[in-house]
Amino acid sequence: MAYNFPSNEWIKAYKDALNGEPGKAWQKAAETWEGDFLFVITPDDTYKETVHYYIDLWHGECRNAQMYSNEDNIPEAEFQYIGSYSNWLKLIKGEIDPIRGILMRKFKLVGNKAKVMRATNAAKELVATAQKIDTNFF
Amino acid sequence: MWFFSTPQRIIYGQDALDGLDEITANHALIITDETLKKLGVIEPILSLLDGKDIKHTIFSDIEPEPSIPSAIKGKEIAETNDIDLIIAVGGGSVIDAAKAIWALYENPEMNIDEVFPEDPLFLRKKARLVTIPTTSGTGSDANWAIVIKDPDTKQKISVAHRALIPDIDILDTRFIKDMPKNLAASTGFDALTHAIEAATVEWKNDFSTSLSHRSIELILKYLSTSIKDPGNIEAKEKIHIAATMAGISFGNSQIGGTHAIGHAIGASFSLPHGEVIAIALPQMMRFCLTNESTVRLYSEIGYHAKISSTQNHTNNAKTLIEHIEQLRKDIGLKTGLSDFGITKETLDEHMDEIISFALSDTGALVNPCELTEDTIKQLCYSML
Repeated sequence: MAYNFPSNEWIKAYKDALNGEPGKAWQKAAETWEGDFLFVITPDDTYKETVHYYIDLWHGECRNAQMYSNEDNIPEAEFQYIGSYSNWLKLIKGEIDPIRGILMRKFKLVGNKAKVMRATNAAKELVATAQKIDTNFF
Repeated sequence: MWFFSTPQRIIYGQDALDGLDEITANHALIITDETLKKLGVIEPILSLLDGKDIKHTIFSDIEPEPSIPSAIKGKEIAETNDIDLIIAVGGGSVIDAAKAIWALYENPEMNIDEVFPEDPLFLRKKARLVTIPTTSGTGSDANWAIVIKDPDTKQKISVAHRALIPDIDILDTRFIKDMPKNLAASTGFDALTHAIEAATVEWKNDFSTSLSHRSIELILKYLSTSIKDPGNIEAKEKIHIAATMAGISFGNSQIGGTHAIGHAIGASFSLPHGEVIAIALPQMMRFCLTNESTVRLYSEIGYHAKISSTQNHTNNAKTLIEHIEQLRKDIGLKTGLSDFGITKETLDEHMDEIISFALSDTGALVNPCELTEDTIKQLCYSML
């Protein structure tokens, strides 16, 4: 079944994908990774709300994944990856990669960038796993 | 949105060093290596600075593979002498070290691996950077990247920031005319690889591709002559210019899988960069023949280099690869890792490390053909 992006169902499906067969390549690429993310989807002409996805990644396992659409109670995370809805759509569709997205100023990365830049393969596989989810975009 | 960045000024041609006559400074830090210092390569620069009453200090402790500790040492010398001009005279190692020293000198609280393209990097408040490449070349004289080794992890770190592009780049043939043949061959091949990868990776763009095409044409035409006929200054100058063009090209695009694997094998076995790249390039190109759009790009390169003229893109691509392999043979470069004494057994012992290094390299992310653990392994074996 297809999941709306963004939605709580989508992030749950993403967690399942990361921990399951679709995420095998990510599990291998991220086997030494320790760190959690806030994926922040900011509003634009297509989607009018701000959404926070919290995702906890630890040694090739997604331990937690939650959606927050309210500014309250958003957990702190080691990293934030911030972009507009339209740019998230392009990222998940493979039209831009996560690193070039930063250089093109379509995404902002907050946190220890050197740590992320040493894990570009894991970042690539995070996106590749997201692409395997049957997704309805607005 | 994308960007195109180059040095503020590139001075080339006969007596290009005289272009530094306009410069004003109080105290210059000359960054070079011991070999170049002993050969007297920096003497013309010292004479020029003396003529302008610019004090100078020399830092020549740069290793063939520059390291973070060397950069920190250079930074301390810059601080002690209140440097306001940095002149890097050397190959890619020296120039990368100079950029790292500059970055640390002007941002003393920062670690070099914290340099990130979209973060502020304060430069030019204390000093400016002039580069005088003595190889043709890594292209570091004209782009925003630093490749530096972390001795703790053995890994080569690549960092980049547009502010790191040198202020003035001097392409003077007096500094390359006596380059040893093997060095000229390996650095020339490195330049060729920069140009090919910049024109074929996923970050390619019209500005980079146009520079790449001309760079490749010049290298394929002049590299062999520049090495076999060392007195041919025209050929040497063409290669020197082509290497800088290739540097600008990949600086505004990206290196690809050949460099990802080259960096990985080079770091794991401590091998010279250009020689490993020369072994890797044709193998990676053959691997990418499975990708139709890459075949077309190789065909375009061959067309612009005036080495193929048929409409058959696959044949053109193969002709280009064969041309490159012949060039490699002509200029006496090694054709396999076994030429370094590496066996399949020793390669297997290093394979996990090589794969880890290669996959964490940005070149792997943008390579036209996907690199996986298996494909990297097969490519490494094919390089034996």
